[in-house]
Amino acid sequence: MVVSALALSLAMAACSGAPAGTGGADTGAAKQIQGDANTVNNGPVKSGGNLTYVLEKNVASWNPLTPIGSTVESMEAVAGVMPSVYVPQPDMQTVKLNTNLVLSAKQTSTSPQTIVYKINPKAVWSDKTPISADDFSYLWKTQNAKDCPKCQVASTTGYDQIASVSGSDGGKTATVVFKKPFAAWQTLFSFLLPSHIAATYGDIKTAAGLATSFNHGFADKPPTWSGGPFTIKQFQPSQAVIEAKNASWYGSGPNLDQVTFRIITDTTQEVPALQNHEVQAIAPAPQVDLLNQLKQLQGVNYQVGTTYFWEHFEFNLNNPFLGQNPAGDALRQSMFTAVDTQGIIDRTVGQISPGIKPLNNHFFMPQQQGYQDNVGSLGFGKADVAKAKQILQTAGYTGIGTKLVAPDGKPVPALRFVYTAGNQLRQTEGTLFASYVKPLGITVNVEPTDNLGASQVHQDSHYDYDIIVFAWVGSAFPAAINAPVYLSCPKGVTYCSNNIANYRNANVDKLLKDSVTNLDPTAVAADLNKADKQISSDAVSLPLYQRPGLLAYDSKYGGIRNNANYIGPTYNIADWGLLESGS
Amino acid sequence: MFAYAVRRLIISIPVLLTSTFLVFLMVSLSGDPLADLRARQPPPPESVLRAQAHELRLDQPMLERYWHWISGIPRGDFGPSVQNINIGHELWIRFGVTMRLVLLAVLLAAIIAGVVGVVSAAKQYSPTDYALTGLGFLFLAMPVFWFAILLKQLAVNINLQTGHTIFYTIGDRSIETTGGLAAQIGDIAGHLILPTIVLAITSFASWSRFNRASMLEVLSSDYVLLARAKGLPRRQVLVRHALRTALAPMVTVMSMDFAAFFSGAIVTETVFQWHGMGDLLLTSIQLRDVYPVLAWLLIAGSAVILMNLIADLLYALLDPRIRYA
Repeated sequence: MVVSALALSLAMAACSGAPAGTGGADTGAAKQIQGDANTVNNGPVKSGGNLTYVLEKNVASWNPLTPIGSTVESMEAVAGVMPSVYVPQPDMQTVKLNTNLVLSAKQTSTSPQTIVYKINPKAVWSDKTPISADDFSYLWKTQNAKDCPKCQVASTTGYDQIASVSGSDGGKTATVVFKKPFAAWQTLFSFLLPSHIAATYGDIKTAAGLATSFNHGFADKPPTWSGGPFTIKQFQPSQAVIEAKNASWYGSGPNLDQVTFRIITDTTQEVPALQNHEVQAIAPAPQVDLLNQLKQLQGVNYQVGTTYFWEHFEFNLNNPFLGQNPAGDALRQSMFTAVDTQGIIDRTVGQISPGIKPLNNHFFMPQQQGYQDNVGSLGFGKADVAKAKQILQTAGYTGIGTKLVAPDGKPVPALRFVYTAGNQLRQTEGTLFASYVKPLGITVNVEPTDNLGASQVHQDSHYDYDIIVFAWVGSAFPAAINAPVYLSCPKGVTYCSNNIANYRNANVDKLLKDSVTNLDPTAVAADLNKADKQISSDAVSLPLYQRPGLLAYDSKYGGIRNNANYIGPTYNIADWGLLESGS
Repeated sequence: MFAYAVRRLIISIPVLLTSTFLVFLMVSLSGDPLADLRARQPPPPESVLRAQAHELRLDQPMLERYWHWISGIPRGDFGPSVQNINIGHELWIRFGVTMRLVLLAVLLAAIIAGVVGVVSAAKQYSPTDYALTGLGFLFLAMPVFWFAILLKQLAVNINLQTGHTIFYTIGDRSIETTGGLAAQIGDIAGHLILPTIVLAITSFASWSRFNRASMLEVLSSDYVLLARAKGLPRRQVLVRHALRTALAPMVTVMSMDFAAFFSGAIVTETVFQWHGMGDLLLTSIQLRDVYPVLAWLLIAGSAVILMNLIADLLYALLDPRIRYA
């Protein structure tokens, strides 16, 4: 009977443990590849071949500069099509000039800040139209919130500080003058869009034409043009994006004939697809089970790297018991002191990547210049319950160790610790947090939320959390992206921009504002560390750890490597190729 | 019979509309679809968020939004989507994907259940009956997702051992297929086998039990005893006299289970990454994207109503007493 045979085979599959063909733990297991972040897996590759890389979401918009398009998936899909002036490197601190696109990008003046971009004379769009200063100008006008108020941009950061973008040398030199200094100017002019194509959607000298081209022209349909090594050959919605070599590509490579982005929306299905050779590269969020499953595969290499995501506990200062007042400060500081950050790491991500240490900084990653421990040095995250109790006692709390009562006589209510539903790591972190503060007499209820965004941006007094665990994203330019998290909100509102905790400190405001406009990197690092020390001692958010990243791929491929930046491993898609050695 | 079918259809319309309204309320009240955008780092400018809210009609009163949606359907306008998709076009494609899976699974489950039910009933309390009963309960007890993962691993092992990709674990077809018609058919079959088995297996289990019970009841009836007494061959008695009668209640059960097939397909589609109706529903719920959820309900509800109607008609076909009633 067919049914009986099926049942028997399934039983055998279930009992066999490691999948057949893995060849045992020693001989056939996947190999972890380690090395310099910027050069790992750089064996010589040959020309030709195809690779299928997994995207975890559908490409909802083809314009990565719009809110819907600014997802990792959309950016990865267009990384080989839309060129950027600078490309952040895997080491998390280098931004490399894309010399295929521009020969140089020099700051010629600091007052006013002026950047001169010399565009490569060979740089052309796939229809042979030269890439020019007009394309730079188009990007500025659509994202400065002034020339095109209806352009739906993901962010105006930096572009709103530019006074002018002008062209010379027949359009091959773009001169950008800032009205206000912008330290992270190397983040600008990423994902260049062709202005001559924009003009086919509307009159780009008008705000309406800019909006139509930006919001719909470039967003609704996959680009038929390219300014990068690949061009989009076919898009099958919710299935795949197929990219082939751009015949008009003006740089070196690409090595592969075709790259297919296959959409797999369930992370757990990626490993069997890799094992079955239906895909050749995956970059899922690492989990213990997934990594163990991966390690058993034959002919697969993997890299466990770092990411810009850093997990933290954020405390809601809108709660009167946790607010910025002497009693609230003491309560938060005592909890910070009682928490065992390393203990949390050991029971969660430490099982994926041993050796992860507490982050202890709100701006810098350990790999970045300027990093220093500003949290652990205050005694936070060291599981010092005795010291935590002492802090409470000094502040006038009673009922310590039993049922905590605030100095004003009001009992401290149970606190809501909110985590993302279905995220096992964060649930464990919540449970551990509750156990760490229990000896202080504090009750913590650990609750899931199925809408993390909504829980973060509570907009009225009925906020959703007292303590919430989630990740902020770092950057090679930490000031630009992280300063808004700690800048004070206007009076009368419970959150603004990314300051969801409603943290206020005038000294921190001053330092952060300076860090965004100061053009001296050393001074910026000093500003950020001073601000960080203040934020840390104010005990508003407790950094936990830098989240590890995972990339697994067929061992026949070289050039592909883990990268924490917004375009992930596709940052060097032209370098991907089949290894000359075969594996 | 025709009047009956029309009456059934007309009654279904208010039921369908009420259910869409309730689902609209539930999904709309479940949260702000723009919350994730607001929490982005850095968040988009407020003007962009306002424009997005306007585009998604979030700035309109709830009833007005529902009216816009319902009044747009005759024009083929299923409303805006957070996912930036044309819902009508998306539904058309995804419905085809899901129906390919569901119809084949129903057919497979019905055939196997029919055969197993007859064999079990004909050989009641024999070792074969016990074995088939045991298998039925085993498949009935197995969680769909667990069975799917296990089957997938088995298929991958077979592929690795044979050195050929016979079975595929993701998608309803390869992204690019080369070769002639035979290769194309092989590719589609390679993608279809595993999810069809998964979807069919639990229904087969319950239907075979139902068919066995139904067959046993019919086999002990007077007219079957008479047929046997007249000396008709055993096969003829079983197939022509008993099975036909036993199938009538089976058809009712199968049509009622059609909704379950749709929900079963959600899990199967997820495991095998078929981007059909189930995938659309899950993604839309996760994103609080109300209009695709409503459109899903409209299509799934209509399909269930249609299947019930077909069941009624088949019932009449199988049992002449109903036809002439």
